[in-house]
Amino acid sequence: MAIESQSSDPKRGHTIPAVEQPVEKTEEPVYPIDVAKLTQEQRNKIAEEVRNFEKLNQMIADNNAVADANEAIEKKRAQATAAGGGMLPPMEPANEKATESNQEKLDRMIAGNDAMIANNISQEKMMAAANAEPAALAPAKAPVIPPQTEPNPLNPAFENRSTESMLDTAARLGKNAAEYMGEKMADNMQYGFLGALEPKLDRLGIKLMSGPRRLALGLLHEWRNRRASHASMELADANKKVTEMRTRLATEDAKRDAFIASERASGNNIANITMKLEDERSKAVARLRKAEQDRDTKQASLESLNGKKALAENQQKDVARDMVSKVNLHPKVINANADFIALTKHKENITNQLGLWESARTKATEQLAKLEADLKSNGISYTEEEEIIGQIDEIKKILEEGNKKYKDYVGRKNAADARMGKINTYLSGWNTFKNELGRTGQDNRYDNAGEQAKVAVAGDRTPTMSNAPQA
Amino acid sequence: MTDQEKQQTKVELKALLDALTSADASGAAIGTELEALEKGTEALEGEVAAAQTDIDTIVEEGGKQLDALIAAEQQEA
Repeated sequence: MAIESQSSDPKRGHTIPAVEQPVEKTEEPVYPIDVAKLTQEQRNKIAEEVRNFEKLNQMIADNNAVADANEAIEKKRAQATAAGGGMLPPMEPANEKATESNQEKLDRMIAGNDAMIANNISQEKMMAAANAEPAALAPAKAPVIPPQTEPNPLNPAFENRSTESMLDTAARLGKNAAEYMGEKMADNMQYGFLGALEPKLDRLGIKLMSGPRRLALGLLHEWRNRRASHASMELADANKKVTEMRTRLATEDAKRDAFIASERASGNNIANITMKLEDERSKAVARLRKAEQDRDTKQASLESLNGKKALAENQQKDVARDMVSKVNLHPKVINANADFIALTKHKENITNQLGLWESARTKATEQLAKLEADLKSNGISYTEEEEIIGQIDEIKKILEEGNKKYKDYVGRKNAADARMGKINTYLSGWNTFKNELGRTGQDNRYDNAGEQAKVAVAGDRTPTMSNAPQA
Repeated sequence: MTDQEKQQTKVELKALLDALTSADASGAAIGTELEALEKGTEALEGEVAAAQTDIDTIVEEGGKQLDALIAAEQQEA
C-alpha cells in the first residue's frame, strides 16, 4: 500500500507511518498541528478521511450485525431441531472435547487471517490519517477495529452457519475496500509518475488487475483455504471418533467375554443377559458403522474441496499465463523493448561524444589561457600583432559558439533522456503487470499488488519473466 | 615581441586552432546523432502507446475470463 516506511516520534509516543503521498510536500507536519493554520485543502482532506473512516466503521458494523443475526437464527434452528425429535445424536464427551479443541485451533488460525485482511483494508487509512490529520486523531473519530473474538463474516463458525451470507458480506467488504483503493489510486495519479507524463503518453495507464477483481480473487482464495482447512479438521475429528469407538467396542467386547466366561464357569444361566449384551453390541457396531460412513463422507468432501481448489487456482493460472504469454510475445512489446535498448545505446554514445567534445574544448580553453598568461608573464606584448590577435579572437569565437552549441545539445539530450525515462516507466510497468499476473492463483498475494502498481521495478528488457507461471 | 616569439606564438595558436576546429567538427556531428535520437524517441513513444493499447485489450479480455471464473466459483459456493 502507500506506506513506505515508518518513523518514531517520541513526542507522540507511538509510531508514525510515513506515507507516500504527502498532503503538503512543502510543510512538515508538526505535532500537535495548529488547526487554525490548516489550509482549506487540508481541511477538506481531513473531512474526506473522516468520512472514509465512518464508511469503514459502518461496513464493519454491518458485517458484525449480519454475523450476529445469522448466529441467532442458527441457534434457534438448533434448539428447534433438538426439541423436535432428537434427530441429533448425542455427542460423546471425548469427541466434544476434541471438536472444541480443533475449533479453537481453527479460530486462532482464522483470527490471524482476519486481522491481516482487516489491516490491509483499514491500516493505510488509519495510519495516513493518524499521521497527518489531527481531527482524525480525536477519540470520536478513531477507527474501530472489531475484536477478533466477535462474530466475523470470515469466521469459520459464520461460514458454517451461512456460506451465502459470508460471500455476500465478503463481496460488500471487497466493494467498500475497492472503492477506497480506487480513490487512493486516483489520489496517487495526481502525484505519481502517471500524472506527470507527456501528453503523448498521458492517456495511457498501466492497467494492473483492478482492485475489485484482485479483492474478489483474494477473498475466494481465503474462502477456499478455510473451507478446505475446516473440512480437514472435521475429517480429523471423524477419524478420532471412529478410532475411539473401535477402542471402546474392543474394550467392551473383552469385558463382556470375560463376564460370560466367568458366569458360565460358575454354572449360571445368562442366556437373557447374553442376548441383551449382544443387542447392545449390535447397536454399538451400528453406531461405529455410521461414524465410519460419516468419516468417509468427510474424506470425500475434503478430496472434492481440494480438487475444486486446485481446479480454480489452475484455471486462474491458465488465464494469467495466457495473458502473460500474449504480452510477452506481442510484436509491439518485443519491438518496443528492443528499440528501447537500441535507443539507450545510441543515447549513451551521444553522452560519450558530448563528454569528449567538452573535454577537448576545456583543454583548448586552458591552453589558450596558458599561452596568454605566458606571454604576459614574459612581458611580451602582442597588442600590435594583428595576426596573433586575429588567431586568438577566432579561437575564442569558436569556443564561445561551441559552448552555446554544447549547452543546446546537452539540453536536447536531457530532454530525450527524460522522455526515455517515461517510456522506461511504461516498460517497467509492463513487467510489473506481468509479475503480478504471474502470481495469480499461486498465493494470496493480491493484496500487495497495488504497491507494485506504483513502484517501477528494475527494467527487465527480456521478453521473459522470472515470476511467470510455469507451464 | 621578437620575430622568433611572434613566429612561435603563431605556430602554437595555429595548432590550437586546428585542434579546436577538429573537435568542433566532431561536436557538430553530435547534432545529427541527437536528431536521430529525438526521432527515435518520438517513434518509440508511438510504439509504446500502440503496445499499451493492445495490452489494455489483452488485460480486458483476461479480466473478463477471470470475472467469469470468479462468478462461477461464487455461484458454486
